[in-house]
Order: sequence, then C-alpha cells, then structure tokens
Amino acid sequence: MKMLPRRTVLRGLIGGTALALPLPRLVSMLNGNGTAYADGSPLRPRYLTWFFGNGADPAHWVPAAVGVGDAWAPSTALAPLAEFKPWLSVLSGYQVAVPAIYAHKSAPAAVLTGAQAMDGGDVQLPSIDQLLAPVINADTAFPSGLHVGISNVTGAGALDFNISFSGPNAPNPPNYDPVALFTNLLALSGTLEPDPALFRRKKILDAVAADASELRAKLGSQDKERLDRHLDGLDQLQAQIDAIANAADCGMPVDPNVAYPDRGADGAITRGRCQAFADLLTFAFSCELTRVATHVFSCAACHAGYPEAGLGEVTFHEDFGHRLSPMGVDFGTAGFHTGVEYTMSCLAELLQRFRDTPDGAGNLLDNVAIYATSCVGLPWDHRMDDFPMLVIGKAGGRLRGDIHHRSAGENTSMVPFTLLQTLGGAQPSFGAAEGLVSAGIPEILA
Amino acid sequence: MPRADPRGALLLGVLSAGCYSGLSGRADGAGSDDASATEPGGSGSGETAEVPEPAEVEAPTVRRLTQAEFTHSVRDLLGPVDLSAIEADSNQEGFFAVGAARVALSPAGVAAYELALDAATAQAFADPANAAGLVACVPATVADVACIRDAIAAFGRRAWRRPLNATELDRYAGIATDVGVETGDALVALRHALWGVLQSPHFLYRVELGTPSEDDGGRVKFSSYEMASRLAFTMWNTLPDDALLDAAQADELATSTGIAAQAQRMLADPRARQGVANFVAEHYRLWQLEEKAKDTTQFPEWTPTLKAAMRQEMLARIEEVVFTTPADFLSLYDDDKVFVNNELAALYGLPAVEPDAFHPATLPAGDARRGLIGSAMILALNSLPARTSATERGQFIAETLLCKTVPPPPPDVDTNLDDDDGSGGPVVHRTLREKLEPHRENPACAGCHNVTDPLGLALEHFDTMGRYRETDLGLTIDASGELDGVPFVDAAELAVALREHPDALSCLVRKLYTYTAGRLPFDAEDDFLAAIGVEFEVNDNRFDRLLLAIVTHDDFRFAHPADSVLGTDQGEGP
Repeated sequence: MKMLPRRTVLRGLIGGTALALPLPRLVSMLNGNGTAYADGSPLRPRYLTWFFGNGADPAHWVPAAVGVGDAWAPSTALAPLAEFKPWLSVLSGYQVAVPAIYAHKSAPAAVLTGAQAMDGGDVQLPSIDQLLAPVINADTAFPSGLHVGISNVTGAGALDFNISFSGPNAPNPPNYDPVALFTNLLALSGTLEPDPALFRRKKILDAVAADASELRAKLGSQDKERLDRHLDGLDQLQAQIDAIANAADCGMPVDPNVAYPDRGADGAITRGRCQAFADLLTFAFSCELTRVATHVFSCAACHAGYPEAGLGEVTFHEDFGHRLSPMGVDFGTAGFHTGVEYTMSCLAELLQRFRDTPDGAGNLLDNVAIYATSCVGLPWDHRMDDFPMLVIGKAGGRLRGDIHHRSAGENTSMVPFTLLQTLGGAQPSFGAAEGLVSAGIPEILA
Repeated sequence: MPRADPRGALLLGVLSAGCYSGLSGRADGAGSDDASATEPGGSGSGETAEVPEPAEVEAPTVRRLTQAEFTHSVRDLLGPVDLSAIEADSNQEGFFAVGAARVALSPAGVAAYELALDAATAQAFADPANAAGLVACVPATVADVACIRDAIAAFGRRAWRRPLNATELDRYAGIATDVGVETGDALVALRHALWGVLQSPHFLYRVELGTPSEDDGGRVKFSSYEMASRLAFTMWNTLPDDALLDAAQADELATSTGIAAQAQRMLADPRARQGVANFVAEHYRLWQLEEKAKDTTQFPEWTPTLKAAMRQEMLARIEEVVFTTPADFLSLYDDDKVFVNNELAALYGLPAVEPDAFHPATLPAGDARRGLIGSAMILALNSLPARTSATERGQFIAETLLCKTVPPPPPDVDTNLDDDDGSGGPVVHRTLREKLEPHRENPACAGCHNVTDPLGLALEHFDTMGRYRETDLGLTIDASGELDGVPFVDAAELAVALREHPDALSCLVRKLYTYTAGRLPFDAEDDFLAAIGVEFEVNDNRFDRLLLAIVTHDDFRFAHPADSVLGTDQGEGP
C-alpha cells in the first residue's frame, strides 16, 4: 500500500486515529489470495433491496415448474434474469398477511417492514435493510446504507418515494442523482489526492455536533430521537472524511457523465440511469464503502411511463397496471407484461455487474443477497396474494440459488426474515401483528 | 428505536367506525364531543364542586425548516444563491409544516445540507464586494478578530433567530481562526465560520420550545426571540428581519400589543405575500402539480408551461383577494374571476389575451365553472392521468375545504372503473356516475363515497385537465347533487353552496392554525379557534385579518392553552 506523504500529513492534521476508522476495503485487508480478510475470516456479505412499483401478473411471473436446478426454468417475466439463474431464488405463492387498508401501501409496508403502514406515508417498524445495517454495515462509510432511485414520479397514496425506514418517521429517501453519488464515492475511493480543506469540514462538523448535543439535552424524547439521527449524519460525514484521508486506491467509480451522457434527467426511467446506478452500487459494494443499499426502480403505485419499453408516455400504473389504456384490456395486459420484463432487464444490469466483479474467491453476486419485490401482486385487482418476491445472490454461500419455491399462501414476511437470519440478525422474529413471523424458509438456504 | 405508534390503533378505530363526516384534524384524533370530555378529578364525594383535571397536551417539538423556509432563509442571508437538492419534505396531515415537526432527517440529508450550504456560501463569498454586503463587518486580515466575531454574531443572530451565547460565538470564531491560520485569507475564514453557523441545528430547525412563566401561572411561554421566529415563519415563510429581532431584544414580543405592532408592519411587507403563497401552496398542494402526470397521448396540451400557468393563476387569485383588493377570502370559492394567459384562456374557453401574459378575466354568466373548484389547477390535480376522479375531487372538497374525514377504501375493494370488463364482449361506455353507483350502494363503501362522489360528480363537466366538456364520450353528464342538505344542479351551484357552508369558515381557520402550529389543534384549543373564527367573520372574512387574529391572540404566545398542561415527555430521555 503506497501512502502519499500529503495524505500522511493530512491524517496528522485530523488526528491520525486510523485504526478506529471505517475504510474502503484495501488490498492489505485481504489474505494473500484475496479470498478472505487477512485474519482469515470470510468476506462480509452485502445486502440490497430492489423495489419496483405496480406488481406483477402471476400468470406471467411465476415459473411453470417448482424445484431446483434443471427442474425449473424462469418465466417470461423473469427471462431477462435467466443468465443469473444459478443465483436466483423465486419465491411464489406468498401472501401479504396484513389487511389491505391502503392500496399500494399496506402491501409494500408489509413486505419491507413486516407490519401495516401508518397514515400519511409512514411505517411502524424499520425496514429489512435497516435491521441489517447495524449487523453488517456499522463499520462502513455509510452505516445506514446507500439509497438510490430511478423514477421520482409519485404514486398516489403510497409510501411516498421511500422503501427504507429506520423506524416511524425516519425514512432514508432515495438519491436520484448518479453524479452526486459518483462524486461522493470518488472522494471515498482513494483515487484522488485528499483536499487539505477536509480538516476545515471536520472542524465545522465538530462545532455543529457540539451545538446539536447541547440542544439535545433540552429536548423531549421524540425530538431527541430526531436529533440523534441528525448526529448520526454528522458522525457519518466525519467518518467519511477520515476514510478519505486514509484510503488507499480503491479504483475509480464509473463517471455517469462519461459513460451515460444520454441517460436522461434525474428521475426519468431509462436504461442509462439503471446502468449508472448499477455501476456505482457495484463499486460501493466491491470496495465495501457500504454493505447495505436500496434501489427503487419505481415507487409504490408509480405513475411514471416506460417510454424505452415502447409503452409511450402514458402512465404505466394507469394504462397498464390498471389496464385502463384506451386501446383496451388486452393491450393493457400485454403492455403490463412488457413493462415488467423491461423492469427485470434493468435489474439484470445490476446483476451482470455484480457477477462480473471479482469478490473474494468468487464474484460479488456470490457474496450479496438481493431482495426484489413490489407494492402489489396482480395490480388490476390490487391482489396481495402470489406476491412477486425474488432473492438473488448467494450471500457468501449462505443461499443455495437456482430454485423456484412455491408456498401455499404463507406470510410474505418469511422472505425478509429468512434474509435477516441468514445475514446474522439476532432477532427471533420479524414484523408485527398479522405480519409477524418467527420462521424462515429453509428451502432457499445452502 | 422501533416504537409502537398509538395513532395506529386510533386509525383502525376510525376505520372500523366507518366514514366520519364531522370536522377532522384534532391532535388527539377525536372526532366527537364525548371523546374530548375530560375525566373529572378526585373521587367526586366531596361537598365542593369537582375541579376537572387540566387537559394534558403534547409539548412543542422542534421543526426542521421546510424546503421553502430553508430556501427563503438562505437567500435572505446570502442573496440569490443556487441551492442544490436537500432532503424532501414529508407531507403529514396535509401539510409539510406538520411533517417538519415529526419526521427525522436521514444521515444522507445531513450530508445534503453540508453540500448545499458549502456551495451557497462559496458562491456568496466568491466576490468580496458581494460578501461585504452580507456581513456586518469585513475583516481586512485574519488578525482582525473583533471584526470577525462581530460578523459572526450579527449573521448568527439573524440565522438562528436569537443571539449566539459566548460559547457558541467562541465555537464559530474558532473555526475562522483555524481556517485563517491555514489559508491566511480572512474572508475565506469567515465564510467557513458562516458555513458552520448554517449547518447548526439552531438554523436548520425551528427551536421554539418556550419556558414556564411564573407570571402566567407556570404556563409555558415563548420568549420574545421565539415569538420573532414564529411570526416570521408564519407570516413571511422566512427568517425575522433585524427590526423584528430588535423588537425581540427589547422584549417587545412578550405582549399581544407588541406583537400586533410588528404583525401589522409585517403584513405590509412584500414578504407577507410569500408567506400567504406558501400556505396556499401547502394547503391546496400546489407543489404536487409539478409531478402530476397525465396521459400526454390523449392530452398533449398537458405541458410544463400549462402546469406553471395553472399554478400562477391560483397564486394570482389568492394575491388578489388577500392583498391587491382585500376581500372575503371565501369569495374565492364561488368567484367568476379568473386569471389567464393564452394557454390557460384556451383551456377555459376564453378569448386570447394580448399580450400573452397573465390578465384578469371574467367567466361568462351561467358558466358551470366557478370559484376554486372550477380552477384548472384544482381540477387537474385531483384527477387521474387519463380520466377524472370524482372520488379524488370530492375528497379535496370534503377534506380540504370542509374538514371532513374520508378514510381510505376498505380492504380488497375493486377500484377498477373500466368500461371493458375483459370478457372480450362489446365495450359499453358508462358515465362515471354510473360506474361509481355500486360504491354508493355497497354499505362497505357508501359511508365515504356518499360524502365524496356527489361532490366530485358535480365536476364531471371538466376533464382530467380541467377543460369543459359537454358530454363524457357522448354520454349526458348529470352534475346535480346535494351538499349536506343543500341541492345543486351543477358545479356553479355547488361552488355557491361551498361558500355558504357552515363549516367553510371554521375549516379554513383550523387548516391555517394546523399549518401555523405544525400540528393538529388540541381539543383544548377549541375556544381559541372559535374566537379566531369570530374575529375572522367580523372582519369580513379577510385572510389578512385572520392571520393577524391568530398571531396576536394571547394563546399564540404560549405552548399550550390556559387550563392545560404539557405532557411529561419534555426534557426526559437518555
């Protein structure tokens, strides 16, 4: 590891407490052949929630046969994921158990948090990614994870744009701007010469944190919780500055403006935007700048259109999700299927990059667990049974992959609970009330 | 961290009770008189009359500046700087102002503030001459410590809406010193100190918590500085100016008289228009227009410029009735006056205007389009991408204008209203009224749909963009209905019925107070709100008088009504 003198000077300025700092993963942190950490412990798994709005049609989504390996083949909807079949677990037949009080809201709240939604876009419990963050991500540059989104078009009455919640009234809204994420990751990559001005930021953040701590002492408990989250944000910035000052070269993330100059405006649904975020998430996971992320393709009940899929500028939710196209129901059904296949092809952009990125003894897809799901089952009837749920990746050998497992209407909460347990969460159960489960799905484990 | 929210149980209770059509929006969620009854104290066996326990109400919470408050405040301090995205507001109870008092910022949101304020302060200080206009003292050298401290103190007082204490001033002056040592540039040093001042929670949050006042029987009272902040954000949607802070320093905002003097001055200030516009933007959800999608294959006229025109028209209507020609605010509900440029004139079926800029215009006599519910903005916003929605439009009228509660649909309801049943048989078009008929006949749906649909169906002559149509796909539209016993034949008559509705006035008072307080009104504030309502009425329903009535009322200076106590949560916790 070559450390530049200026970096050393800077580290001296900041206090030089390198051992306590979160670091991008360095070559020196791995063993001789790069298959494990230097102390011999296996690489930590990564986790990602991949969410898309407006559901799926079970007739199009669910593979015809159940089983493992050659016994099953991906459905038409999942054809874009066929080349990732060895890592793919299709979980069909699961049913959202919480009552459907809010269309497109009760269900996403249930599959993300295991509990009913609250009025006004809120949830009762933390989402699965935030339960995993303290387990596998506390020592990274983004302890609460990275949260990105493709479409920023709203869905009426749904959970706003959010799929990640640290708790009630504590969302982690997605970032729609890949350039902003690139800039942030680039600074953390160790590629750039650290700016001596970093120490000024640290001084300022120290002052702001002192203000916040003094104020905190005067507040009631709910305000304390809110200010604690603000302090978490200040801590995260401080940790990132330390990481910049100490990082070795982690490679260079892909610049969206160079690779995808025609990707469209922030918030637009385009393949270029999917690719840009896929590159950046791959970099962040590979470098262990974070081990937890969420990716919103489109929010619950999203009203955006899918022009690249040949579906025009009409709203996907209306014309196809509810089959209200003036062209009729058959056209609506076909267009809906096309849109879901397009959605899966954007997911494939991420999977391809994960698979092609070496990580430990295998690739990133071997070491990740992706939970892909939606806000509704069959959308035109707002169904909450036979819910679209995928688990992708092998989570460091913990998941078997290449399986279609069908349930006879069991609780959707079992899927996130399986991932929580598999990735080290100590919680004996997941969810609340009708959504509460304490059993996982052994069939998908290795 | 995870905590159960009692509102969950409350919500389910409301739902199971069916659609409630009384006044909605109480801090305790109660919708009926008995729910607001206070349990009597003591055993009741004594000879003296029972003394009711004082109602316990929620303590005030800090409120993160909304995006609008943040933007206006930063630009008041730094001039017209560019601001990169900060974390989005959360709409709760119909207002960002309420979400700002409840929702926590994410860690990424803290980083977004740092980034936005770095760029904004750098931009403002890029030109020394410009910077000199923003600070009280321009240091010539890094050794000019007194000047740097003066500059931070003056900037900080404005930004934090109170003077910095000695520790705080030392803290930020220390940043200037360190950066000065490193760079040798006094202005760069000062810029960094102010970048810090703006990242402090004392800037980013409205810290208006009050302290118990012995002179007021222990009631928690806002300080004069806190009152300056409350007045400025309520009336201007931005920071206090120096005159208001000077009044606070002289403790002139401890009395209604002192507040009235400032409030009168503030109403005459151009920033009052910004303040009222922001209330309207939140109340009528103007912000949602930007992201409102329409099927542009069917409605190619749905352009960004049309949306901007709709927004501008709504603000012009408000400006007219509140400031230009102050009049009865409720006249907005059934007025025949509109404002149009050519794009909007075409949509309203009015002649083109010359030049193509906003002009006042009058709708023809006998036109079905009248008032707020006839505005393109309200009609388009409360519609679906390719069709109208009687339910959404009715919900807007019921909830936003009349404060009725309309819960979401019951579980597993079929919300499809398509003509094509997918059977492959011939498609038979039906009017929206016919399609919605089953909802009003089904007991599980009727409670709510009987509230919303008759109101929304009255607007069926206006398509999803708000353009008049004589028929719906050739079918005759029946726009008649009834609002709480008052029959109407079309949208114009509904507009009149709305203006004359007995709840219209009290609902507006309640909404404005919710926005002002950042929370739903307490039951214990019923008398206060009633008094404000009377004041509003005797002042000819003028909105500026309503605003004055709220901010100058005694209760506005306290964190809780007389005869109530704050919850015990305050100041506790680890």
